[in-house]
Amino acid sequence: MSSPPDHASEAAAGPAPGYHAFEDPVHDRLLGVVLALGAEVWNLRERLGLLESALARQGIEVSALIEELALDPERAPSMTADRDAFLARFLRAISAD
Amino acid sequence: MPELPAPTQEQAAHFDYLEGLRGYNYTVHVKGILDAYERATAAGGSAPATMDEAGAIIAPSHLYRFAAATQHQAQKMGWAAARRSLEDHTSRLAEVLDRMPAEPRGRLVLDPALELPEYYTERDSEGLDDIHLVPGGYWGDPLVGPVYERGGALYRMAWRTGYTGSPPGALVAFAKGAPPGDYRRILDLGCSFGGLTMALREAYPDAEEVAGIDISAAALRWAHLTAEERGLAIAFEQRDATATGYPDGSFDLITGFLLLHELSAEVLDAVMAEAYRLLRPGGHMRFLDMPPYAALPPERAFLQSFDCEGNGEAFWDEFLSRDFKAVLGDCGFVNVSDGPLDYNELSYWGTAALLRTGEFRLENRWVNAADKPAA
Ligand SMILES: C[S@@+](CC[C@H](N)C(=O)[O-])C[C@H]1O[C@@H](n2cnc3c(N)ncnc32)[C@H](O)[C@@H]1O
Repeated sequence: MSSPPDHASEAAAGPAPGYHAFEDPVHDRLLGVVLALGAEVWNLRERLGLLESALARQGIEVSALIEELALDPERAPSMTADRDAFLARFLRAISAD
Repeated sequence: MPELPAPTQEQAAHFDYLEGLRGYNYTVHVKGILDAYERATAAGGSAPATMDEAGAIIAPSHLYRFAAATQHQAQKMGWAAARRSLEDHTSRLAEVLDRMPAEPRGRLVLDPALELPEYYTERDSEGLDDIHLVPGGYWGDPLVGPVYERGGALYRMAWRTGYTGSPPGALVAFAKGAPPGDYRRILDLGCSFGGLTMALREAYPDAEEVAGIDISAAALRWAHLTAEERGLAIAFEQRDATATGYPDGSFDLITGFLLLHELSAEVLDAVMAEAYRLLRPGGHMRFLDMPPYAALPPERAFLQSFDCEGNGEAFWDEFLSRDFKAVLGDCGFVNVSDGPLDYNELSYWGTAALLRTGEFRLENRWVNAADKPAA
């Protein structure tokens, strides 16, 4: 179905790429990373939602407070700093050189 | 079946994600591929006549590449996730697998001397024993029963229901679909975890013997534990379907579910010759498997062919391109027929990995049937 493997990119992707849907097996691997990341993100979202529900069951309503804090001008500077640090870590592979 | 250890929240979220991911891939991407194909061929004049021609239109598209790569990745992620959710419980599961019922209704007969055929144990380029990309195939992992119970159910888009709990309706309908007759001795070939074997027991409660054979000891063990827990009297025996060792004419009815496409043409021919020998004159044989490519429109046949390369099904193409009815005729069988199982199973997604759009299609469950001539 896909064209014969290109040996240069095969080497770049490591040994024995097996099945790949894209011409370059690296793309299949990258998609694998994205899908695995999606799984982690979904798990975190679900767990956070469950955490809020668990707290609510204990009589601690945090959901409204979270919305409030998100727009709290006093917290804005530290949130901006956290975000920038996160982006710097996240994008280092691109911006390194 | 013996109860599985409950997954953690993280594992459950992972299973839900994978089911959702695959559901989206099928209902949006695969459906989109078929819609685009329809538009392309409607505009283009003469419609492709063969699956290769249809493939030449579909395969280069980005949507197809993404759908195929997503299915392949999700399949590997699914088996790995199923395995991981059981790993923390290995010693408890080992105990469960070792605890044989004190007063079994059926029996488990293993043959440690049985030699596993090479096609079954050889490793592919990814280091996997490949049957639908399950690490260790059906035989190499002692936890294969629990792994399928969870990962197989995930494949069927029903991990919360479980594998043995998922579609028994169609299997009972298939078992009962044999022509009216007195089936006293029944044999199920390549039974793995006994899904069809148990359905046969339910369909023929008065049969003298219902036996399931397979070459995987680990699969048979799980089948035995499951059947005993359900109170079903079944003999699970480790035997090779090409040379079972049963006497001639031992059975009135012989069946198989998803066995045919797992075998090379050569092995399949040997299994059919053995089935012919094992049936009593006038006995009936029926298999439930995939529709052959020739029974599908070319674009669906092309999507179905993905399993061969993309889902680790080494003999898929060979079997589905073959005229299996002619093979049965050559073996001496009569009343050879094939066609979809007439059973409306609305929640069924289909068995081929990429030929799934979420809509129910009758031809997804395909029956091959034949009789041994009466003496
Ligand atoms: C896809 S599974 C069948 C599913 C099963 N019938 C069910 O109801 O769930 C294919 C099975 O064929 C078995 N098999 C492969 N070669 C065989 C042979 N030569 N003799 C007996 N069983 C064989 C494999 O071990 C595997 O369990």
